Amino acid sequence: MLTRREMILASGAVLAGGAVAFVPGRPVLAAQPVESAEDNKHSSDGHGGNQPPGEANRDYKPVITLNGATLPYKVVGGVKVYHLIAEEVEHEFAPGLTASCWGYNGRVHGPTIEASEGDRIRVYVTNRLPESTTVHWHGVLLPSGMDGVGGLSQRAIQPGETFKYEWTFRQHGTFMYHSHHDEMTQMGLGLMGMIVVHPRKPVGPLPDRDFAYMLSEWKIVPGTRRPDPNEMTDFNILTLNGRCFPGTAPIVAKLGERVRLRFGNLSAMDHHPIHLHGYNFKLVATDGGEIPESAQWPETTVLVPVGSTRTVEFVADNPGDWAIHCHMTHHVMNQMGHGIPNMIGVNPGNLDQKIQKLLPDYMTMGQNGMGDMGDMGMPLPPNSIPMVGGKGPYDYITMGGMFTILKVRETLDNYDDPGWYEIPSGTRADLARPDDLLRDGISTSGRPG
Amino acid sequence: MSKCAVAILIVLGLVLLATGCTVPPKGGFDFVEQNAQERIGMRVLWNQGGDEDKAVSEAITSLLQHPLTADDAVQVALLNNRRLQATYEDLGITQAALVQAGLLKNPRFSGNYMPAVEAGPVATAGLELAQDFADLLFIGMRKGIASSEFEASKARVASAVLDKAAETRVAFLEYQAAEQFLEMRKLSADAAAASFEVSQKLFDAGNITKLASASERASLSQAKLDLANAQAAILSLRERLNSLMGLWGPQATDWRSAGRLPDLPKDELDVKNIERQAIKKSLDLSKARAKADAAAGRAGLIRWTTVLSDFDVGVGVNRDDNASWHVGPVFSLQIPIFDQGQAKNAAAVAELRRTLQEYAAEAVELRSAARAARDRLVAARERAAYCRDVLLPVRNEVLHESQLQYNAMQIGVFQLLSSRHDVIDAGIQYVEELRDYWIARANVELILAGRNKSASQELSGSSSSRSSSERKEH
Ligand SMILES: [Cu+2]
Repeated sequence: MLTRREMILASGAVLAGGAVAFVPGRPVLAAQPVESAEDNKHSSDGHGGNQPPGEANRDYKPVITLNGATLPYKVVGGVKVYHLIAEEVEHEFAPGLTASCWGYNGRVHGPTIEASEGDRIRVYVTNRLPESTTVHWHGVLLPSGMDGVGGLSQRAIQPGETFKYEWTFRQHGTFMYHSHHDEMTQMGLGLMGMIVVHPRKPVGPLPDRDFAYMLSEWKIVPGTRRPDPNEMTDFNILTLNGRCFPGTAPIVAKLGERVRLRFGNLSAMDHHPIHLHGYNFKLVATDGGEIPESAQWPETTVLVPVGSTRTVEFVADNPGDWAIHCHMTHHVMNQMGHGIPNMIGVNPGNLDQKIQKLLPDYMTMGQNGMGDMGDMGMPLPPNSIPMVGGKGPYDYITMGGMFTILKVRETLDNYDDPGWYEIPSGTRADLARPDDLLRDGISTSGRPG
Repeated sequence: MSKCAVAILIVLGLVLLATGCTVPPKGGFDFVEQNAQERIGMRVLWNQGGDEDKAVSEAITSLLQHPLTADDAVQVALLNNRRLQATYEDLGITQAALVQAGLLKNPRFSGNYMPAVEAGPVATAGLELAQDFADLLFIGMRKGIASSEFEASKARVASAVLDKAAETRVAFLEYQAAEQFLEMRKLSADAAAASFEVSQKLFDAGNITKLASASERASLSQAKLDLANAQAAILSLRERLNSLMGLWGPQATDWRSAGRLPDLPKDELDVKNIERQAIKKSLDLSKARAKADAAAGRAGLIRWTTVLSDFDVGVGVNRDDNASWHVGPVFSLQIPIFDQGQAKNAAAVAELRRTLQEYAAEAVELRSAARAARDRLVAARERAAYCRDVLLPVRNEVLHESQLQYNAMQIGVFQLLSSRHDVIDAGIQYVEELRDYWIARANVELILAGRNKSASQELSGSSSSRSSSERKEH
């Protein structure tokens, strides 16, 4: 962690164009006075603020941000001190696709802020973007002046400035943080992250595995290397924690473990129905709080609306490799072009030979569907992953975007990717054998009877 | 022998002296020949029926058997164009005029006979042989004028050779370009046909509207029309070449061109001192100068002939009424009382002044034309090089990137084919610019060879290869 003095130096260095120099008198600006009357009122209402800072593995089991990170902190005078630096980040969405995005602390999205209910926290926000910014703490109950809405609750943080936010968590749950200044640009380029606040006195069984996911969407034209934040409808990269399949890390759990999945959605324009195969789960909380057990209903798909978090839980009692993905079919494609002619059902005949006289590399595509597109190996624009899915144990996985895999195993040495599930023999769908067909009276040439 | 016989002998002697010259068969053509050789490196022959003619026709046949280059076409035209051969006859005509100018007027013989009247003693008679001696004095001046006219004629014929050569070269460049246009129009039509075929298949599969398919069909129709135009253009350009090369029958249909226009040559013509070069070599100036010389000679001649013309001197015999013969000199001359020749003189002087002005004008125009030709050449080279080095590569890059985007399923086959179409269009434009460069170069060469006449003036406006639809929208 940076010391306060180092932070001042860092911000001074930014202002001085990279020169290592101490710039005296550059103030660290406070969004609000450190202790407001209102804040004190809330922090003394029995929900926390007077307790010692929560500690990982003592007071809570840390949340896992796959493909991401948790924001480190240090404790100064009983206050957890965090530092977010908004800056341009070269981010890889999946092997083969990198873009210049905006993130925090060198990551897209920003690291997950994790704390315990009752923790008093202080977040320094340094702006290394070319544009002024703010950070809004979505779903967090805090004093109005800490809410981070540019112009409304504070003046925007100019490039080179460092602002200070401070409040006490008087709730627990899953929240988010994101830019609240020129949102369209700044969120379109990735300025967002998750906030997880653990309860001091949890009710009910604790999860063994606790994962946080940020859902978002992007427009990155194949062959470019910067997301287009102006896009309104035609998004072509859909991400879980800033990664699209096959760039997503699998969720690994041991058989019988309780798994909690926290989803936040800060996509520009889309809700995401996240569907888990092999299980049903219960929706246990939103960013508004926990749902009483009597009101939790079983689901296999949880709709995560834009600007909301949804937390689901289930017991991993069904071993295997299970798909978990957004159920909107266009959200499990990578860099699909949406303005091309529909080629399905077209019989090219000798068309290819004719066109190849003019265009030697021509090939009619898509006439039988898109499934084969991913592994055709045709030359593509640089820095693009159109149609790309991933290699599976039995075939090509024709999925991209918001898709990942839950891997449940009976035995695990650690939570690294255990590889593909070995499906017990006789329990995997395969070519029907002739004697099966015969026995069951299935004619492959006639009509189903 | 009497004095009479002496006088007759003198006259006959003069006559024989003057009739010594005959008209040479190809007078002045060596000048034309040498000029063609030196200025454009081409062979010319004057076909006047003989063994040489057979050799010429064999040479033409052998040239036509191989694919023709521009030089070959020019050579065939110079050997075989009948209009050019007709121009050579101008040499014969002016040469004859020169010979004519050296001839004395024929002596005039006149006689009279008066029968005796009844009262008179005898019939009287007289005979005269007279020669116009003024003519004899002016023969030198006349020859001078005719010789200037002959010089003008030689310059004119040599110019005609250069003109024909340049005209043929330009026609050939046009033809070569047209062949390339045709080739590319075929590609264009193929691309449009492919595009339409795809649209048909998409329509048959139920995937696109009739409107979309009809648009592709419209583009194809346009491409076919452009192709037909390109074919027609080739035929008419070929006929122009046939007429320039003097070809007909199988010879007119069998020859082929040696492929594409040559690329831009590395070395450009030296046009730094194009004005001076053009002036030095100008046949037009030579001609104008010879015309002025002739006019000056004519003015001089007219001045003398008004005071001294029809001055006949001769010998006469007369029989008087005593029936005795007398021999004696006779003469006659004009007395310039009424017509003292002022008008003729003034006209001749005006004519002379006109030719001098024309000479000066020719020089001014030549300088301007030389500069213009140089500028056109430089600009045409720049455009052609730009097409080759920038436009074509960038169009190809667009196509390459379109193929990648097509592979990435970001654009469809129609857009891909349209990029291909754009490459063809850029190719057509390049050939246009390259053709224009070679034509500009032919014009500069023509000026440097001594002739100020645009070889391509007939072409302007008639040779656009662009399709009427230009670019189709996608
Ligand atoms: Cu979705």
